Amino acid sequence: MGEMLTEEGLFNQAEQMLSTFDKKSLLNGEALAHLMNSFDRLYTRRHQEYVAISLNYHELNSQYSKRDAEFRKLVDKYERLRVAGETVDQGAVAKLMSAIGRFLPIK
Amino acid sequence: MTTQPTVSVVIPYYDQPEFLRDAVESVIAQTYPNVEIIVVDDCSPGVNAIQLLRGLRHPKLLVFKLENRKGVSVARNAGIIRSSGDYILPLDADDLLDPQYVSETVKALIDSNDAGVCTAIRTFGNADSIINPELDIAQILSRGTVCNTFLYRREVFDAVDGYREGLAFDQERQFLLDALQKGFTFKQIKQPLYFRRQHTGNAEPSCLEDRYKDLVERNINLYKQHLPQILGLQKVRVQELTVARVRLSRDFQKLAIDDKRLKRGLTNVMSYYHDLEHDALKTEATVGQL
Repeated sequence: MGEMLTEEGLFNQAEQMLSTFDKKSLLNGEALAHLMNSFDRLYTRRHQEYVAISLNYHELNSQYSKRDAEFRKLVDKYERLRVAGETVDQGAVAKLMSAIGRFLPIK
Repeated sequence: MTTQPTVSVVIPYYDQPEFLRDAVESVIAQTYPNVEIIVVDDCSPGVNAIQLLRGLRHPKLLVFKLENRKGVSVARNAGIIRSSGDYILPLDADDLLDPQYVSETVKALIDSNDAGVCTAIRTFGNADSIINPELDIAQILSRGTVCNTFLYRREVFDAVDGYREGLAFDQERQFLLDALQKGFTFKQIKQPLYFRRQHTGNAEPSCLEDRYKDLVERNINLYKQHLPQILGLQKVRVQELTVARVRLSRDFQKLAIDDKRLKRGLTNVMSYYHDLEHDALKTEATVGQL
C-alpha cells in the first residue's frame, strides 16, 4: 500500500493486467484498486513537483520583470542622453550604446 | 407538458450553519419562476435549519428534520421523495447557484433526449478555478471530477432507486454510474453556473486512503467493461503531467539563463552610466532639463 512505484513500473503493471484480462478475462478487483491508487499517488507526487517548479518559475519571472523594467529605464535614460549627445563625452556614449545593444535582444 | 416544469431543489443540511442561508438565498434568487426548495435537516446539532432560515420568503420553501442522523444520501432521498418537481436539482448546503442556473439548465434539458444536464463548476473559497465535470463512464471510474449538483429528470431517480445509502463518500459518483448503466445520458453546459465552495470541511480524503477499493468492489463489472480505457486514462494523465513538467522545467532553465544575462547586462550598463555621469556632470544638468 505504502510503496511508491515508478512511472515505468506502473505502466508495466497496467500492461500486464490488461494482457491477463484480454487472455483469460480475469480481473482481480483488489489488484486493480491497488494499481489505481498507485497511479493516483504518482500523479499527486508529480503534481506537487510541478507546483513547486511553477512557484519557482513565477518567483524568478517576477524578479526578471523587475530587472527588465530597470534595464528599460536605463535605455530611456540613454535615449535622453543621446538627444543631448552634442555635450556628452562621445566615447562614453559609444561604450554605452555597445553595452545596451548587447543586451537589448533579450526580450 | 407545461413549458415551465417544476424544479425541486433539494438541500440536505448537516452542521454547516454559516453556509446554509447563502445556499437557500441563491436558490430564491433564481430567475426561473417555478422552483420549490426542500431543505432536509439531517438532525444537525446546534441551531437547526428552520431557525437558520427564519425570515426567508419563498412560496415553496419546505424545511423538515429527520429524527436521527442518517447521512447525506438518506437525507437527499427523503427530500426528493417529498418533492413534487418534474426535474430534480440536488444542492449541497455549502454551495451556491448562479441566478441563471435553473433557467439555463431547464432550457438545455426541456427539448433534449438527455436525462440530465450539469454546468461547469466554479470553485470558490480556498480555491478559484473552473472545472468541467466528467460525464464519461471511464472518466468517472477513474476518479475524474463529478458534479454533485446537476438537473435531472425525476425518472432517473426512480429508475436507480435514489442515492445509495450507507456510502461514506462517492454518493454522487455512484448515482451517476447507476444512471449511466441504466442507459441514461447527460450533457454539460460550458458556463460555470454552479459554485462549489472549497474549505477544509469538504476536503476529499487523501488517495492514500485507498478510495478505489470500495468503488472497484461496487462496480467490478463496469471496470471489466471499461478496463482498457480506464488504464489508458491513468497512463495519459500521468504522461501529460510529465510532459508539462518537462516543458516547465525547460522554460524555467531558459528564464534562468536570460535572467543571469540580464543581471550581467544591468551591472555593466550601470557601471557605464556611472562612468558617464562621473565624466560628464555638465551633461547631467542638461538631461535634467529635458
